[in-house]
Amino acid sequence: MGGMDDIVAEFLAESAENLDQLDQDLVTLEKNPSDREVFARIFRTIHTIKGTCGFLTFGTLESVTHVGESLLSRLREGSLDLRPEITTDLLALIDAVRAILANIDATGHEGDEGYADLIERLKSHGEGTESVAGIPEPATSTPPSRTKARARKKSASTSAKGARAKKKASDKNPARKQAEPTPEPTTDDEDVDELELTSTPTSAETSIRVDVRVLDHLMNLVGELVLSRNQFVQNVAGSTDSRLTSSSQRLDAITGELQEAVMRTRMQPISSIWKKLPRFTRDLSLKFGKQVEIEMEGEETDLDKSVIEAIKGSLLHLVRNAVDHGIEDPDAREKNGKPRTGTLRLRAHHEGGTVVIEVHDDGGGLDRDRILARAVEAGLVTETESEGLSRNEIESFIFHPGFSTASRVTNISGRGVGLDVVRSNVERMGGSVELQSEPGESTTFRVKIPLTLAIVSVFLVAADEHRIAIPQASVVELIRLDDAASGPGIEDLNGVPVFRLRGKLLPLVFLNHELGIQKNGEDRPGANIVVLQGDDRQFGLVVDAIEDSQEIVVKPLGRLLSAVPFAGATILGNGQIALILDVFRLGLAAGVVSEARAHSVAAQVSVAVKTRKSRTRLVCIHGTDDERLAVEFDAVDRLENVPRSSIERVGNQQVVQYGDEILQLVELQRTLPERRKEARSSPDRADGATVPVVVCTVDGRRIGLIVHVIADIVEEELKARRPGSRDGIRGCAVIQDRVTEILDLEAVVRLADPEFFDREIG
Amino acid sequence: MARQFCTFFVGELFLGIEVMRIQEVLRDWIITPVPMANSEIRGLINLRGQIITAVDLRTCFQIPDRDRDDPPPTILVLDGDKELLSLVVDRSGDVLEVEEECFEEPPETLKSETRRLIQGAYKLEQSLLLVLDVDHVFDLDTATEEA
Repeated sequence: MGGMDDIVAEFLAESAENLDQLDQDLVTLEKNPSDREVFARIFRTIHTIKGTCGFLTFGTLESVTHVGESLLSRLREGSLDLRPEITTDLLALIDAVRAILANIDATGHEGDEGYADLIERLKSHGEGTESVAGIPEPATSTPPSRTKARARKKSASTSAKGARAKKKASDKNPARKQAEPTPEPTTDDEDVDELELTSTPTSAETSIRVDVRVLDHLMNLVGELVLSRNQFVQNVAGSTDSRLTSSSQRLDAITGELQEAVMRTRMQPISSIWKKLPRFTRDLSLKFGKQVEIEMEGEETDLDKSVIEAIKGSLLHLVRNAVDHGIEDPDAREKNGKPRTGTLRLRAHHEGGTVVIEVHDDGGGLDRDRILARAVEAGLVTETESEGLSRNEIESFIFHPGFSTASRVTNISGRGVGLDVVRSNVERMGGSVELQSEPGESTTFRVKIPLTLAIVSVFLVAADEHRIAIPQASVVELIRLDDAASGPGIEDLNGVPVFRLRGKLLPLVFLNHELGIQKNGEDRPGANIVVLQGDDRQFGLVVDAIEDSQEIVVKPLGRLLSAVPFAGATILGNGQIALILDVFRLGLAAGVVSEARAHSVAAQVSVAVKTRKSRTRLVCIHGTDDERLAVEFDAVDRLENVPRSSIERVGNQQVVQYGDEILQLVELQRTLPERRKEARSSPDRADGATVPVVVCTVDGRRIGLIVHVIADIVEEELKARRPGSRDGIRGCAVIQDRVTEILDLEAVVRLADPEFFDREIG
Repeated sequence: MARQFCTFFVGELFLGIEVMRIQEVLRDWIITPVPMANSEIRGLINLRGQIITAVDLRTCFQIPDRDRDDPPPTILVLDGDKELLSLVVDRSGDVLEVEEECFEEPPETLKSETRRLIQGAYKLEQSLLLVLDVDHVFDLDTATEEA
């Protein structure tokens, strides 16, 4: 059974590759119908799939590919011309095959879809001469039953791969097979095989398929080897034994080379995603009634596989955007003196340690007036402010969440999700997106991304006994403050620590504090500030010490650690583990970075719009120990100050007479689980004459929450949300620049009184 | 049908996990704490270059932390669903073979937080072997994260 699974797995992997090639081939063929070689390749691929699936008894797949093959053979003979409708249907055929293969991959079965429509359409192109698929054989095609028999016979003696290779060869000339109805002897097949291999050398000779996991493992091992090498070289450095030092040098060099070579095995040319694009643009341009020509430059540019996977979606989005919004209708283009067919040009090249991918279209460019009008309309800027904006600032509006200049919403783009997602994706990978646009001429998106995500340069800093790695890509500069140094040092601005950096106020975040680390040691004199770029805003991170800069191998944290402000971990030369800081998340948690706060005027004003869009009214409660909590306003009936003397006890409950009903009370601080293990020293307020009570309705029942202080009622957009980390908390959000926990009232009540909701209302 | 259990101790509890699930047992291993993580997570360990999350069973069972002069804890490395995970326990015991007919549902007398993580118990001659519900232990954390 295992052997059979392997055969199926190989069939799937190989077919997937072939199908990608087919997409590209068909589009090429449409432009240049006389290209025999391309035709032969298409025919071969379909035939191979058909043959193999007959052998593997995938009936639907066989009948679909069978009609496709019949049609293709007619096209090849020249008895039929390749019309766009036919191309479209052939592409639909490929999609159908892909869908069936996906089903087989997921479930082991072909799925229920019979594709009768498609089969009918494909057959009708063949001038209706073919009869029902699968059963009677049209004169022009190889009977599937025979293919099946032959394949089976061969698989008995050879591996599946061998069988396939031979079949592929035998497919080369169906006309000959037709003339020679008896199954050809194997030797004949072998001849053709050789002939084919010599004429078009396949990649099978020079490459093998390797499971990515094997490469990942190899990469990990090499990472370890590099670390061991570092240790070894360090230890040997002081030695006087010349033999030892020379072998250490050799080890050093070879390890470096090995690392590079292994890195290369994970590299893929960017064409692995680009080859989907001609088909993709064709479909899009048909849909939008546009004429688009796609040009590619630098397809061979290598990128780490993980980077390719990560960038794929964004790249498709940019292409989609260019076809939908960039390139104009053929008529409009003609009116502007441009060729009717628009050009979409993709370019990729290496630049230092990064890869630059450009998506260029010769469409109408960005209409700055319209962008500005939309921005004003959406309230991103006021009209007066808009006058002072630079070209770049205006253009950058298109990266705003929910921003779209498309007058209509298509099902492809213009839904207002998009460029902001593209930008945040790319930035998350440590890259950047730039935009250049000439009105009426062109638009170019320049995406710059790192070559690999696996190895990162970091600064190692200390937070008490923890070693934390900060990616150098987010570090702007390092500052060392001496106590003796002149200047004000760290100042306090309304409770927020700041540092004056060349006249600008830099908000500061204390790493120890943010990570909840209680310091054991003495305060060291002076301070070390790491200036970080988080999103659009800079902030200073105060650390105990800045120790070293290193190249590290990033390892993922397990699923149990998805909520911590770390992007991963690494193993240092001494075997110690260091955590890699997620600068953005830390800034968010500390409240110095929020998506609603950015540096430019325009972005600052956008706060107002965003909050107006989806803001929530909240009642803010301060807990003991300056903890911030909030209750959604909608659930709150009244805020009361209840005299302590009027609180009565019934059983183990606290109640108070409230109007003509008895209101059950819940003490919030006692109910919520403590955040840290240590008991907190909280000022005892038991002596106050009254206690603040938030009266709320939960699930139709009233309850009073006894809180420490009712602080404020605010309206905020709950954008920067994080899941809660303890019971009774729905999640965290940044409210008034502070991370605030939002209560899940129902859970709080349940914590206090598990039976509360089960009791009859009496 | 006899089943084999790898046994270990956490506080007063005598626990077991089916032996096939345990990949290895580590003693005297450095655990790097992770700030801001859930309290059940003791930290990360470095197992020959692989970084593995370590969940402390003491915290899961709400047993007070080990004292400074207690012997260093033992770590059990388990094959989780997609990743390796590890459990921090006080010390490991023997591998025991137990008979299926000795199995019983979790005793009523157990505290509720203990019962949640226990599949059941084997009545042994000398003691009661509690079978740890490993998946539940590791699920605990995702449950609170999703809140």
